Amino acid sequence: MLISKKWLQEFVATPKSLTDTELAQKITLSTVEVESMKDQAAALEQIVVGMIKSVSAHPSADKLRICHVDVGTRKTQIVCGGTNVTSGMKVAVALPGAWVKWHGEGELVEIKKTKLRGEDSEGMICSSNEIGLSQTEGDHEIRDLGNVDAKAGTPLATVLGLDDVIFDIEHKSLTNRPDLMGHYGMAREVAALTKSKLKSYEPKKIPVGKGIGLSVKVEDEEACPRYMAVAMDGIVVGASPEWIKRRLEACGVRSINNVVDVTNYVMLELGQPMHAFDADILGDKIAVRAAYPKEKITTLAEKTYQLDLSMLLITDGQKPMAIAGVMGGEGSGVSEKTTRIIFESANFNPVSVRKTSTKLALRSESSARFEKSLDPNLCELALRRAVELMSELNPGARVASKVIDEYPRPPKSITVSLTADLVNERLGTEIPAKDVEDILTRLGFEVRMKKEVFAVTIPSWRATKDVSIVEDVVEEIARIWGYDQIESSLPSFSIKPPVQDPVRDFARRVRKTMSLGLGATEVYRYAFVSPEMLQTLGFDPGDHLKLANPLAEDRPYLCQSLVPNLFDTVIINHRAFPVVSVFEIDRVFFGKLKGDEDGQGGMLPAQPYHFGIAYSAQGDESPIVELRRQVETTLHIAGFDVTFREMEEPGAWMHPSRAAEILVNGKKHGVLAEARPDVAQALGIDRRVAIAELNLSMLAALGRAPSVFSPIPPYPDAKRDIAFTVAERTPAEGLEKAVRKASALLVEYDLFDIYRGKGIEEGQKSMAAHITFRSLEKTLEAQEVDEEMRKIRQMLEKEFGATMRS
Amino acid sequence: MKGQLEQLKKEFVELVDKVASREALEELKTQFLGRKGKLSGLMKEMASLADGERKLVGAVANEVKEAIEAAFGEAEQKVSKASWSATAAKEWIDVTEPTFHARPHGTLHPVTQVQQELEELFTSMGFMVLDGPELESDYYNFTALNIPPSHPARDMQDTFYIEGKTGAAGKAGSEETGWVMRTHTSSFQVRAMREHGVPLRAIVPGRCFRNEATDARHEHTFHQLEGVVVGEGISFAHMKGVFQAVADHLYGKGTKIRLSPKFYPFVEPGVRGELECFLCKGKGCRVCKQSGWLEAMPGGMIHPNVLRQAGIDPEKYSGFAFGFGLTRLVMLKYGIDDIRHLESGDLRFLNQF
Repeated sequence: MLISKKWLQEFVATPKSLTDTELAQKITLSTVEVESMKDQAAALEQIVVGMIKSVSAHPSADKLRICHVDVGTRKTQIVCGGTNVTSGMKVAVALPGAWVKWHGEGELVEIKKTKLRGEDSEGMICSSNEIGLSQTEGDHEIRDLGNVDAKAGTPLATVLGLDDVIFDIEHKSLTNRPDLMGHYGMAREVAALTKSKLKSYEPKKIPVGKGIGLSVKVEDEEACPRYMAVAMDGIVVGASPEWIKRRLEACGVRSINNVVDVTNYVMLELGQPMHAFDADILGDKIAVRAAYPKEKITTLAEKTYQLDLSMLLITDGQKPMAIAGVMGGEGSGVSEKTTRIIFESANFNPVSVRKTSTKLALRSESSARFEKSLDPNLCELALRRAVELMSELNPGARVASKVIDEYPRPPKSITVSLTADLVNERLGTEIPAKDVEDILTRLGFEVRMKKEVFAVTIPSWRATKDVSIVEDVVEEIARIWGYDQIESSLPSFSIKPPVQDPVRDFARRVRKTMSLGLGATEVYRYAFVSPEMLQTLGFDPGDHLKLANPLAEDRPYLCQSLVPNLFDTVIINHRAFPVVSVFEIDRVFFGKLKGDEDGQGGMLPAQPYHFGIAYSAQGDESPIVELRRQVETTLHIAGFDVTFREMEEPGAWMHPSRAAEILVNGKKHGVLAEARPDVAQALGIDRRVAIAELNLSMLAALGRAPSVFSPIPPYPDAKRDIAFTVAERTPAEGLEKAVRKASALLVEYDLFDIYRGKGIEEGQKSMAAHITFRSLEKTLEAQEVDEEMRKIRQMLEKEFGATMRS
Repeated sequence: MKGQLEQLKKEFVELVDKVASREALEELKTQFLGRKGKLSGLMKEMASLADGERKLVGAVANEVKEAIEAAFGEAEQKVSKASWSATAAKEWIDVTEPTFHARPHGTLHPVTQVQQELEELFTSMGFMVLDGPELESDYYNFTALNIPPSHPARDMQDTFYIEGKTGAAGKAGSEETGWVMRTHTSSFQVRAMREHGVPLRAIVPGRCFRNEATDARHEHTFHQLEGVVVGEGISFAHMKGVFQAVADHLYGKGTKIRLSPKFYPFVEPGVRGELECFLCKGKGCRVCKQSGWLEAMPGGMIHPNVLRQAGIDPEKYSGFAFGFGLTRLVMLKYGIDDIRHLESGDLRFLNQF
C-alpha cells in the first residue's frame, strides 16, 4: 500500500529533525514494514522542460530524428526515436546525469553525452514510462507537456508538483491493522511514534436534503452490519482538479472522474471503501441481499460472474447493482450523463467479502480493505467527508435525501484491566506506569487508573480484530516502547534430562555411515508421486493417500515407499554420473495404518521414516552386490545383526532372481533388489539399478544390541586357507553357517574370493576363505588344527558336494 | 698392555671417522670388536697377567671397549643418515598428481548439515529435539494455534488437504477433522506441550508444505525449525536472548539482531526477527537487498489461547515460540539462488556440500 508523506502531513506535523528514512525505519520497527521509499523529486533530477525548436531527419537512420531543443540554460542537439516529435512541442528532457528507464523497461540507466549513428546527442526526450510517470506498457509516445505553463529549463518535478515522498507498506504486514489502510490511521500511528500532535478528523455534518426518498433494506445484518447512504443532485461529472489527481496517482490509483475520484480519495484517506451509484439508474430503494443461485452480474470491468447463495449483493430491489464490498455493476455506476448520485458507505463482513472475492477470483482495493475487518464507525466519517469534498468540487451539488444509517447492533466497547507489573513481567522490562499510560493514550486507548490497575478501553478502530485481550495491549506497549529497548536475557531452567529420540539418533548414524563411510550422497525429494510412476513400478495408486488439491501438474499421491523417489533420482542423474550412489531418509504415508492421535479423538495415518538407497554404476552388471555391502555396513555400524534371504515373491519392479529380504534379528525389516531390466528401460534408465528400502522407525525401535568387551586371546591364533568348488546356486550364508558348526575351535571364517569362469566347470563356483582357529586354554598344535580342517573338508564334501581345490 | 689398549682406541676413532658406508662400518666393527677381533685378542693376553695387574688392565680394557662402542654408535647414525638422504632424493613423488580411482566421499544434504548444527546448539542449551507427523490434523495445524476455520490460511489455495479429509476447508461449519500436509512446524507446539508439560524447552525441525506454485523463490516443500519455551516468568526479553544466542552461533558473537512487530495468530506479541547481513555487515548488499538486514527469525510470545489448548494456565505460565526458516538459512549460508535445487535430487548440486 502506498502512503504519501504530504497527505500524512495534513494530519500530523512530524518533527523537522526527522528524516524520511528515519520515519520509514520507525514505522518498520514499531508498526508495519516499509518496503521501500520513493522520493519523487529525486527520481526526476536533471529532467527539465524543453522546447523543441526544430526537427530534421537523421542523415544515416530512417527511424531517428535530430531535434534542436531549448533546455533553458542552453540550446542542445538531441537524437530522438519518437514518432510524434514536432517543432514547437514542449517535452520532458533528461539531461546528462539523469536516470531513466530505457523504453520503460529494466533497470534505470544514466543519460550521458553520446553520439548516435554519428550525430551528437546531449540528452533524451522522454516518454511517460521512461521517467516513471506511467506504468502502461508500450506507452512509447513522447510525453507532450503542451498544457503546462512553464518555461524551458524548469525542473519537471516542479512542473508536475511531484515533490512528495511515497512510502510503500508491505501488504501482508497490514493483515491485522485495518486501521492503517488509510492515511488518517497511518497519521495517528506516526503521531504516537514521534510524540507529535494528531489533528482531529471532523468533516462537516451532512444536512438533510430533499428530493429523493431514499430507503435501504438490509436482509442479512451479519454480512452487512452497517449500511449508510445519501443522495446528492446537481452533479456535473467531469475531470478532478490536479491536486486530487496527483494524490490519487501518488497512491497508485487512476483518476476517473470527479465523483469516482471522491470515493477513492476518501478510501485512501480513511481506509473506508465507498461506492457511488447513478441515482437515476439505481432508483431510491436499495436492498442488500444474498445472491440467488446462479444469479449473474456484469461488473464495471465488463466481466460477467455467476454468483451463489454465499455472496452478498446491493440491488435496486430486484436486479443486482454491485457485489457488496467487491465491485460495482456495469451500468449502475457514474457516467458522463449522471446528475444525481447515491454515495454508499457500508461495513461488510470480512469473511464473507474474502470468500466472495476468492471464489470469483476478483480482487479490488475495496475487497482488500473489507477483508481485514474495518471499523463500522468509519462509515459515517467517510460519508461526511465524501459529501464535503463533492460539494467543494461541484459547488452546485446538494444533498438530496436524508442520511440513511442501517446500524442495528453497534458493537460494545471492550475494556481490559492490567497493571504495569504484569506488563513488565511479560516483557522482562521496567517500564514506568506513567509511560504505560502515555503510550496507550497516544494510540487512542482510553485509560482510567484505579489504585495500581489500569482499565483500558480499546478504540473502535483497533477493536474489530487486533486488540481484545491483555496480551494484545501488552504488545501495543512493547512495540511503541521499542523492541530494541528491551534488553536480552536468557531464561533459567531446572535441569531436566531431555527425552531421547531413538529414530533421530539412528538416522544420524545412518547418515554418517552412508555419506562419509560409503560415499553415497543424501537426497531430499518430494513426498508426492505421480500415478504413472506408481503404475510403472507396479504399485497400486488406489492404496495410496491422495491430495485433494494437488498443484496443477504435480504429483497427487503421497509416497508410501521411497522406491519411486529413488528411481527418479537415478533417472535424473544417470546420464551425467557414471556412478549414482544416493540415499534418502524421509517419512512415508500409509492410509490404512494408524499413527499419532489427531487431537480430536481420532487417529492420523501412520507415517514411519523409511531409509532408501539406490546404487547404479556404468558397467556394473550386478549392482546389488555393492548395495548389499552398503546395507550391511550401515546396519553393522548402527549395531545390528543383518542377514539376507532370497525373496520368494519379489515385487513387480524387482528382478525375479535378484531380490532379497533384509532380516534384522531374524525378522524382515526391508527389501533389497535389482530393478527388472525392462522396468528400468521403461523409465529410460539404460543400465542396472539396485534399490534397497528399510523401515527406519521400526529398526530404531529395536534398540542397539549392547557391545560387550571380549578378552584379548592369551594364545596365538592358527590360520589356514581353504578353497573348493560347489554348485553355483549354493547360498554363501548357509555354507558359512555349516562351516562354523563343523569346528568348535573356528573363530573366524573370512570368505575372500568367489570365482566363476575359466578353469571352473560350468554351473560351479570356486570359493576361497581364510579360517582362524583359537583356543582359550593353550597354543594349538599343528596336528590339532589339521584335524579341524579335515572335519571341515569332510563336511563340505558330504553336505555340499564340494570338491577341494588344494 | 695398557698402552696397547689406548693405542687400539685411538686407532679405531681415527678409522671410524673416515668410514662412509654401512658395509665398511660393519667390517671395522668385526675387526675391532669381533670374536676374533683386535680387542678380544688383547683381552685373551690379559689372562696371563698377575691378579693385581689384571684388575687394573681390565678396567682400562672396559673403558676402551665402551669408548669404541660409543664411537661406533655415533658413526652408525652418521652413516645411516647419509644413506637415507641419498634414498630420499631418489624417492621423489609428484604430490600434485591426482589420486586415480579414488572413491569419492559422499555428502549430507545441506539442510541436514545446518539442521544438525542447530540441533547441537539447542541441545547444548538444554532443549529437547522433537519430531511430529507431516500429515497433520487441521486441529493441530490450525485450530489449536488460534487459527479459526474462517481464517485465510486454511484456504485450499494455501494448504494441501487430503482427499476425503478436507474437513473444515471443504464444508463450512463442519465438525469433521481435516487432514492437511502441515504448513509449518508450529503444528507441533500443542502436541509438545501436551506430551511434555511445563517447563518445556524443545525444538522441532522438519519438512513443511504449502500449496503454491514453485519458482526460484517459492517451493511447495520446505524445512523449518520450530522452537517452544514455556515456563513461569518467561518473557519477551528471554526470547530476545535466545534469538541472540542463535545469531551469535550462526554468524559469530556480537551479530546484531533486530525485532519488529509482525502478526501471526498464535503469538502475541508477534515478531519479525532479522539478523544483520553477514555478508555486508549491515552496509547493504545484493544478499540483503540493500537493507543490511536478513529476515530469518519469526516468533513471538505464545498466545494464551494456544496455551489453553495445551491445558496450560496462561495466568501462571508464559512462553515463546519461533519458527526459523531452515531452508532460508541454508540458502543464505551457501548463497543458493534457486530454492528448487534443494529437493531436486540433482547430484551436480548436492555433491557441492
